Amino acid sequence: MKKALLSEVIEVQTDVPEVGGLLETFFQAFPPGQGAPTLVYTIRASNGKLWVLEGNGKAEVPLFCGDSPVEIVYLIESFFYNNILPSVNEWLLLHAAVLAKGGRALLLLGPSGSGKSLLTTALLEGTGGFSYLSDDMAPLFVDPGCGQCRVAPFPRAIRLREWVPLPFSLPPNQCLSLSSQSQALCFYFPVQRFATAESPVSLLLFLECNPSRLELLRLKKGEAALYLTALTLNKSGYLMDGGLRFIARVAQEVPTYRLLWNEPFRAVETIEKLFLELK
Amino acid sequence: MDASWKPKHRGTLATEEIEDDLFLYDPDKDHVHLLNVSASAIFELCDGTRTAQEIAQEIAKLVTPGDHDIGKDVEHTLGELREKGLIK
Repeated sequence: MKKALLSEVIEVQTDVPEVGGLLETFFQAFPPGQGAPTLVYTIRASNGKLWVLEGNGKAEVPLFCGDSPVEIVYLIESFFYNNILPSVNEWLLLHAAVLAKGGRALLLLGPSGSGKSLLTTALLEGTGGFSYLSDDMAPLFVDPGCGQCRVAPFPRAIRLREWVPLPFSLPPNQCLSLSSQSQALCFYFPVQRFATAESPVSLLLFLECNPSRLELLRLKKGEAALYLTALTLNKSGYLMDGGLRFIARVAQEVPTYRLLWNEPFRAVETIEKLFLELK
Repeated sequence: MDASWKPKHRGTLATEEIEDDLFLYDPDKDHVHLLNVSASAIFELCDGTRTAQEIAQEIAKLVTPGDHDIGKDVEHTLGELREKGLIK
């Protein structure tokens, strides 16, 4: 498998057929990598475990191992996300889910547990007609042609914690499960909704679960900048290299709100209404 | 506060204006700060050439005279800026 993940071309080789199939599933919506890979990994079976090794051929370095094909593919995907991509400095990488409709993008921002994946899934399953760009990482950039702040697709699987009961059912043939001692995850691949095009960013929503109420609060531009910085994944280097200016620009140009939410369907109604109003 | 202290902002900070506020990033502590218009004006005057009293005199030229004690306000703000590590 050779795929383009932002500016990296990553190649993963394996002689384990089930792992090869799962790699294709997990990375199905990423574009194929062109040219020589910048990073190469190999997955091999050894002593009852599946190992990820950095490099191919002679100079291989073992990185980590897993017990099952699903686990090892999940681990290598998380490794790219946590260790490789945050060092990329050409983009502002935000901890956010991204949906688009009518050529405009909506970002749902928040730390783990704030409801990004659940509300993303609810918005995709609803009647609003959103397409899917990302569940967990939003790569923003300035279009050099028109000067717009835009977001590129980063179509990872949507990962839902299985202990959170969903108020709707998902198509079983688009889901994979991973259960281990430490976690239980469901990976949802919204195959009919993957977007391939970049979109201008038109709404930022910072999510907060709140057991008692639903409330939408407009943020001042300075506050928006603070919130954005807190959820920047590639702070190191990037903020001192022009990134702070870009964050200030996004905060000044894009309408930004805090959404306190306690029930997914009402939250979805609020989001859809606001998105429509801002058209 | 030492009357001879001439506060100076740290050179390693990245700053951007957002409307009237000043948005700062401190790479050493990996912290961001947002200073309101008053704190920004005081921060901008912290270039190592003025004492707190001289900064207060500069600020007094910018504001409408009122009941508040500009000298105390400036001292308080300088204390906060120093506590946050934005000036030394």
